[in-house]
Order: sequence, then C-alpha cells, then structure tokens
Amino acid sequence: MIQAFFEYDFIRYSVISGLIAGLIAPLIGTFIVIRRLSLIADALSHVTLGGITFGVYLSSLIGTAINPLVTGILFSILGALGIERLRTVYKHYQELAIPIIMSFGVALSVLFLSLADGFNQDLFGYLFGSISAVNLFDLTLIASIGVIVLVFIFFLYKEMFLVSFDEEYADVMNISKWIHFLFIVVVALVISASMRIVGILLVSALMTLPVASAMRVTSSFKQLMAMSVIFGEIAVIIGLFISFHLDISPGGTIVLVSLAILMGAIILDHIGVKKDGEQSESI
Amino acid sequence: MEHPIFELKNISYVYKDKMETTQALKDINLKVHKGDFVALVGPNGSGKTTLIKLILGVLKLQTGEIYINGKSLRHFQAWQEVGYVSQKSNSFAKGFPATVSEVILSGLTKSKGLFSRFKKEDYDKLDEVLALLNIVELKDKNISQLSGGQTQRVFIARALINRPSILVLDEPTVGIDAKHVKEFYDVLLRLKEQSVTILLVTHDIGVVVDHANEVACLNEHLHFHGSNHEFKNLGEAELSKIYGFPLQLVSHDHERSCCE
Repeated sequence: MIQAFFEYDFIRYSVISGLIAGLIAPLIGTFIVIRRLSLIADALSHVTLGGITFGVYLSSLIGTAINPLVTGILFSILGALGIERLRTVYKHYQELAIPIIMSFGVALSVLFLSLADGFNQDLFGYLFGSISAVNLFDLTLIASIGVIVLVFIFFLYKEMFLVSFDEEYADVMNISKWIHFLFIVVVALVISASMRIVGILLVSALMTLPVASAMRVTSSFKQLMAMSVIFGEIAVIIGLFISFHLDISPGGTIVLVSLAILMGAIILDHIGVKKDGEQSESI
Repeated sequence: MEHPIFELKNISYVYKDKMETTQALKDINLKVHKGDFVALVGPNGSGKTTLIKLILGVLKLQTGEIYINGKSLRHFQAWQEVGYVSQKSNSFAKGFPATVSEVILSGLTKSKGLFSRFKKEDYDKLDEVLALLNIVELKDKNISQLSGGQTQRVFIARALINRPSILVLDEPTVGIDAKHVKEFYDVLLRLKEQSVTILLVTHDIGVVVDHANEVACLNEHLHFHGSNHEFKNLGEAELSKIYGFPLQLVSHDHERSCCE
C-alpha cells in the first residue's frame, strides 16, 4: 500500500482524507458524546444522504456533473438548522428532533434515488466509503473542513467545555447562544468530510467509537480528546490498509478496527490501567 | 450607608403557558449590602429560584428593576462579579471525564472572553482558590470520583475563581451529609469575613439562624426581611402565613429549627 500511496493519486487522496477524518471526527465526537447527542450525528448523516441523492438526481436531470458532496454538505447544514429549531420547538422532548430529521433524510433519499433511476456504484461508495472515489476536489473540500473544525475547537474550546459540562451555568455566565448553533453546523461539516472514507451509514461510528474507547482509559477532558484522536487515526490507518489489500469498502474495516480498539479499552479498564490506578466507575 | 450591592425594585414575575398563568413573584423590594450573608427562605414554589434566575439574568425581567453595584441589570455585563452555585451541582456531573482543575477553570470562561486561552495568571488563580477551599490534593482527580461535599467545594471554587464580590447559592447542600454541610458553611463564613456578599436559598432554618445575618422570607410576596435576631422572634402567626401551615421556631441545643 505504501508503494501505491506514492504511485497513485487516488490512493494518496484517500489516505490523506482518511487521516483528516480520523482527526476531526473523534475531536468533535468528544463534544457530541459528552453532550449525549450521539444520535444527532446519525440523523445528520441521513440528511446528508438525502443531499447526495439530490446531487445525483440533479446531475441526471440537467446532464451536468454536480459533485454530490457539495449538495450533501448543503443538506447537512440545513438538517443541522432543522434540528436546532426543532429542539427549541419541543423544549421538553428535544430528542424528538432526531427521528423527525432522520426520517426526513431517509425519505428524501428514497425519493431522489427513485427519481434518479435507482442505485449506482458511486452511491454505494457514499453509503459504505470508498478508497478509489476521492478526487482532488473532494480532498480540497475535506481539508478545508478540517481547518474550520480545528479553528473552531482551538478558539472556542473553553466555551464548548462549559456548555458540554454544565449548560445551566453556561446560561448564567451568558455564554453566547450562537455557539450551540455553530457547533451543530460544524458537526454537519464533519459528517460531510468523513463520509467519503467511512460512508454515510458508518460516519457516526467514527465520531463516537474512538471517544467511547478513550472514555475507558482517561481521566481528564483533554486526555479524552487526545486519546480519541489517537484511536480514530489508528482505526483509519489499519482500516484503510485492510480495505486496500482485501479490495473492500473501507467503512466496514475502519469501524470493525474501532470496535476492536473499544474491546481492548474495556479490557484494559477492567484490569485497572486508568490513571492513578483509580477504580473507574461505570460511565 | 453605602449604596446596596444589589437592589430589587417592584419585581413581579408571571409564568405563562398556553393553558394558564402563574404568579411567581409580586412587588418584591429588597436591598442587600456589601458583606451581608442573606438567607432567602420560603416553601417550595414560593418563587425563590425564580428570584435567583432574575437576579442572574437567566429569566428576563417583566416588571421592575434590578440593580447590581448600582448598575441596571438590563445593561449589566460584569458577570465575573457574580459567582453562582446551583442546587444541581452535587448530583449532575457524575461520569463526566474532567478533572477538578478543568471544572474550576471553566468558571473563567466568560471573563476571559471569546477566542482567548488560559494563561499562567489563570492557573495562579486556580491554585489560589484550591488553597482557599482546602482541595489542593483533589486538583487532578476526576470530578466523578469525588464525594458530595468535595464536589460542592469544587463548584464553589468554580464560582470563586473570578474573585466575585457576590456569591449566589441555590440550595447548595441538598443531598450532602451533616459533616460536609458543616464544612460547607465554614467555607461560606470565611468568605463572609472577606466581605463577599452571600445570597443563599435554603430550607434549612437552623442555618438561617446560625450563620446568616439577614433573612428574607418569600412566598410570592416578600413577607419578611430583617436580621436573623428579628427572624428568631417571629411569631407562629407570621411563620404560618409565610409557609401556609402552622409553624413555630423551637430552640434546642442553642439552635432553633422549624416544627410543624
């Protein structure tokens, strides 16, 4: 694979995109998991699928190739706006926003898929990830999203920490409400950036499984972020390697490696590797 | 006398939903001066938490005015001057993967402003407040591994890291055992000695009598506001009016408490 990395552009693009996804998905996933919003990633990924199928349909309709990643990002951001709005409308039943937006995304996908005359190979890549489908435009888009996410976390870390840890206190401290909105938009962007490698149906796994693993072996929030990224990158590198050699979609292999890491973390936690030798409590 | 550190003028508040409206507060006037330790007491649903939320700007004022350090709440921006410890503090953080230091530093979030990061002086403030509350040894511990009393001290430290002149506490000792409650009030008394103004919402009448120098009794209206000595002398009729059922203060072992 190392030889192919230097020989073929598409392998290079895939590996770099994968490494970016392995960095930003667990990084933003830390806040998603801690805020108990894991299912929001699933809802947004289904809306993104709606956007991708819309892009495919639009391309077939006007006869000009439109990169479905762009329509996917647009739909994902609109889905994020919808979730935030619905969470305000159903203040006491905020989780209702998730099935509403998720079913909307699936319904749109079915609609546009039917209109675009069904399933094609390219769409299979979007669903389960593809090692050969990443082009230079995709890579540029994914890298740009990577920069946005890193800037967001670098400059708004302390606000995000407070909002995640104690939303009531953040309200008292008058922490700007737009940070909530910006966060959901960034989640939507991360989903769009990661889906090329792990696929729409497994993208939320790359955001949550490394964090779930890191939670078993860390004590502080910064450690949690660092370990989540390390686990995410390990999963992407090994997953892509297996995917390349077995010629299968990388989504499944990356997620299976993530699950293996999770098993290992749970076992390590049980035998007491947690910092200071403290007994961890069930999280 | 210097001007009050906070002043409430003609505060009324009504909760409205589709079905009904509920009057939570009516015509509340209250002045609190620097260094006062004021206990806010009253039965459940008497409007204590609503009043706290109005003072903290979480709820929007409907009627009346609130002044903090002489400045109208509508224009008040210096929230680092006000520390807050909520009633949820001792129970909600379980399982969160953060250290005591990270939690306390988060109290600086507003005063640091957007796009800034913690610097050496912030870590100095952290060390100072850890020492003040005798929790230096907990610095790197995970918040979820602390006892109720320790957790509560961490949340007070978070409220104090900005060196606020006002500390607002909403039933902070709910679910904490007697030993840790005593430690908690020892900390509050040390803060009072440093001229921190304390507004404490509590159901613990013994605490009111022992520690607070002023008492405000709320039940939609402000029924009583005076010194703890005046509060001790309140008759059964006045207390019953506040709490809505027969009640009197009974002395035992130099303390007084509420009895039905």
